[in-house]
Amino acid sequence: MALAPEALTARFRDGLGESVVDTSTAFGMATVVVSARAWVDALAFAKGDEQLACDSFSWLSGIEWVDDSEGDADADTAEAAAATGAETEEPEPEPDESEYHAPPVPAFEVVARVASSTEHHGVTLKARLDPDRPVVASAIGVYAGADWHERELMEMFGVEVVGHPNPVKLYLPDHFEGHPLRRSYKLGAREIKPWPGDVNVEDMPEDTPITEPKPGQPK
Amino acid sequence: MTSVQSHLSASFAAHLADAQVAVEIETPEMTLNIGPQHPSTHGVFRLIAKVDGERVTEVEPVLGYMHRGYEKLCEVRTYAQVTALVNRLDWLSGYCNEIPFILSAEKLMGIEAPPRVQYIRTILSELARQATFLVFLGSFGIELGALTPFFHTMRDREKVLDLLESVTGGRFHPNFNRVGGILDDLPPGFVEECAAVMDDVDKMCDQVDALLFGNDIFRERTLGVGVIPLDKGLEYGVSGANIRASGCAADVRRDEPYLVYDEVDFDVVTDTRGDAFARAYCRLQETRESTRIVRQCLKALPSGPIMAKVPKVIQVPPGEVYVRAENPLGEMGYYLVSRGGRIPYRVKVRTASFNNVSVLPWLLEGVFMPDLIAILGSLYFILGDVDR
Amino acid sequence: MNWWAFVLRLLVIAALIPAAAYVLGYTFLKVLAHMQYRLGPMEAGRFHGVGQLLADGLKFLQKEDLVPDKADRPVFLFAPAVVLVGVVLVFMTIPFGPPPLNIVNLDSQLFVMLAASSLGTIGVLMAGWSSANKYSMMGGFRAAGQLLAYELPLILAAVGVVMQAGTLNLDGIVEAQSQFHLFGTAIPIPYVIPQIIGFVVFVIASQAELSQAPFDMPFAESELVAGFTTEYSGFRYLFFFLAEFASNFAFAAIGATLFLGGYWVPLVPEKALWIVGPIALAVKIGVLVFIFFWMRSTYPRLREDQLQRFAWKWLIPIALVNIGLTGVLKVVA
Repeated sequence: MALAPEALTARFRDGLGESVVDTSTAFGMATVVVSARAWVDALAFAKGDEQLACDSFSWLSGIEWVDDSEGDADADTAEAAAATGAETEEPEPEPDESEYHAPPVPAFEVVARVASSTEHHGVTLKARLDPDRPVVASAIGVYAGADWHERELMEMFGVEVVGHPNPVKLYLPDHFEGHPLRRSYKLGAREIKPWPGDVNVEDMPEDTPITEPKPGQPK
Repeated sequence: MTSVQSHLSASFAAHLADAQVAVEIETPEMTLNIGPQHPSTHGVFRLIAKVDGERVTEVEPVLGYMHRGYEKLCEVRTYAQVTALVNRLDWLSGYCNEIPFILSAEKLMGIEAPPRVQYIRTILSELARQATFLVFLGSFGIELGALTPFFHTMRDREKVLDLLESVTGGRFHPNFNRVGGILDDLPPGFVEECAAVMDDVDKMCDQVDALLFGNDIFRERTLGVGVIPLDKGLEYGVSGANIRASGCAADVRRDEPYLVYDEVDFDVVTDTRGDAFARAYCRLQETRESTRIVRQCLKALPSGPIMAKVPKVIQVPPGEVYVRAENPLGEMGYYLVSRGGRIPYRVKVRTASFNNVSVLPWLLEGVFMPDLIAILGSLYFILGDVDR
Repeated sequence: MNWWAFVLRLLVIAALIPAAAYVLGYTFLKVLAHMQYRLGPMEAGRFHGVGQLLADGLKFLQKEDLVPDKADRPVFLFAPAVVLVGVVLVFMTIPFGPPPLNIVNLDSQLFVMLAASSLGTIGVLMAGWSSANKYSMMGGFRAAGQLLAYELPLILAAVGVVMQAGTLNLDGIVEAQSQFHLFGTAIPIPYVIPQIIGFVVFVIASQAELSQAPFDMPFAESELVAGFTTEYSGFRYLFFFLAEFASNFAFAAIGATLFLGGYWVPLVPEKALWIVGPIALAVKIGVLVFIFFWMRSTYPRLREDQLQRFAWKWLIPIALVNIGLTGVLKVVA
């Protein structure tokens, strides 16, 4: 019996108690943020709990949250950053679970998605790490499939995964320097030349439905 | 005297045992480098295999020959531009790759595409699925040494691709979806043509079923080969037909219906054997289910607009969402993080092949060299989907 | 025998091998293509691509003759010749018509023929070993193991025919078939009827000897790239190519002689066999080759252990039973 997102997050709150930092059910997705120390425990709980029964490991990755008004060569993101900034300046008075809220910047989140093959529900687990020196424990002991995902996490974000049996690069050549998915790692091509395709997209006044609904053919 | 004798006999016995062992294990382990260019690796995939005679003792997959950094590239592209990019992940079913991305953007924006769009998207997704599976059914034969089925399945795949082309203008990389709708309506006469092609595909499935799956040598080569136990497969996140062949009735189309999959009637094909044969057979059956879905969609196809009311400039409000879809190769999903604006903040692409391949080092231990090829073929991965 | 007559016959054989390989190669391309819903070569040579193989051959001759650095050079260079010589020897022993249309006429002709047909194994092993390539080596070993395993059923299947004919001489076997009346039939019938078990075993074993699907483990392009021929290029590869189709022809000729009556045709007067004989043999070879190619384009490939098991556990016992049955029938009849 699939659990609703609210029931899923509630279950995690019950089971993990203090370790749960934050939960969200925005956009119908159950998200549970746990403390970095409880990362592996949370995964083990998701797998072991008979109501959650998340036996299937989907993926594991990271998100780096930076205050990047200059992060993209795009003016719109400034606005976006301002929006998130405004949101995070509130001193977090028990945010509404059903509403989306981004973490306070700068932050680094490790994200994993696990699902249940029998109950047909899934949950997104997050842990907030130290953005300057992200360290997380390896989840291979719980889900063997985390192996390659963690190797990718290491090379792409420079996260230190403690306890990984084979911490070598997965995709990149051994001599590669830097961590490409970090926001500070600039895409070389864009540094040389801005995306040529970008010129096509003109900034138009918002909420102007240009695309009139086309009449569909009657079959 | 007796002690000397016993000592002698003991040393004899030891020498004999030594000699025996030496004779038995005098097959030095050989490191065989399979790929990155090899006929049966579906692209540039490399396996470093340690083989003892014909037996593989250890396998280390080497990835990254096709790593194009799509997750990074997505961070500097507008939403409309990303769909052109993700077409190239699993290049055999480019259309299917667009669906979860577009759906995730639509979800964050709170837009729902009109019903006609949903139906057309479903039809095209299923056509792409059929095209992919027809390639599989042929190429799996080739990997096992049967050349002929390949040409026959390719013939019918061409018909399916022609259908896709008639709608989208592209055979592999349609880039046909827009946030809130699709680019264009179906061409005139599509419904009749499509129904005729579905009959051909069904006929092809029957032929492949009889000629390949009914062949004793084929069964001998695949039955009991490369068994993935259910718990192991789930732990590695194996998805699609690969996990359904192990007895897990997980199908995103059924579990988390997207598009119009909740309105059509189809079976989730499962098997309990978990071997190469079961994986291939599940795909064959799913091709048949797929034609069934298309027929129902064609019958129920509503008229109406093909674009929802969307602003000209797509700006996605802040939010995070994970949307997955049942692609031909398995579960594919996008974890889309937006902080507002025209450009996604972070796109995590969850591809089916990556997880499916990650089970290889465990799975290939101790198999025969020819079985290795059969297992690789039956897992059916696309390198663009593994490396991203 | 005059020495010039012998030389003349040798020249005929030397011309016949490429010709036979050419015809069979072209047939193969076309048969395979039509079975696979293709047209095959259509351009070269104006008429349905008849010139395709000539063009291919010329292309091979122009290519560089590459030898890998680490290869065992003399062995590597010599191996294709060994394979081809084996085929030439088989051709020498084929009776193309009533004497003197056969090249040699030996009392133990079948023995020589079968011995020569397995000479190629040595060449294959040489090629696989000397290439200094792991794929080649695995291909070579697979080929050696396979050819050894299937040599036995091949010979045992022929033994049934030999027992029935009472001679190892191929002309004698053909003659015996021309006089064989099963249960007093009016028309003499070839040995394929009484030796049907032997015939089936023979066809399967030949398919394995020829390393064609479902027994193409030594090549196994999806695993071993191109098996023992991986490192070969240019005219040396052409040698293997020639040998492949020439031995197809040779094995079909052996089968046609042993089981289908060779150059002999029922109800045709003996004098006319001088002309009809070679044509009849060609037709019979064509039928067998078609069966070979048909099997080749239909079946997937067996695994090495399954292949060995099939030879030792099925084919050889069946062939032995066939010999026993032949013996019993011979005594009873």
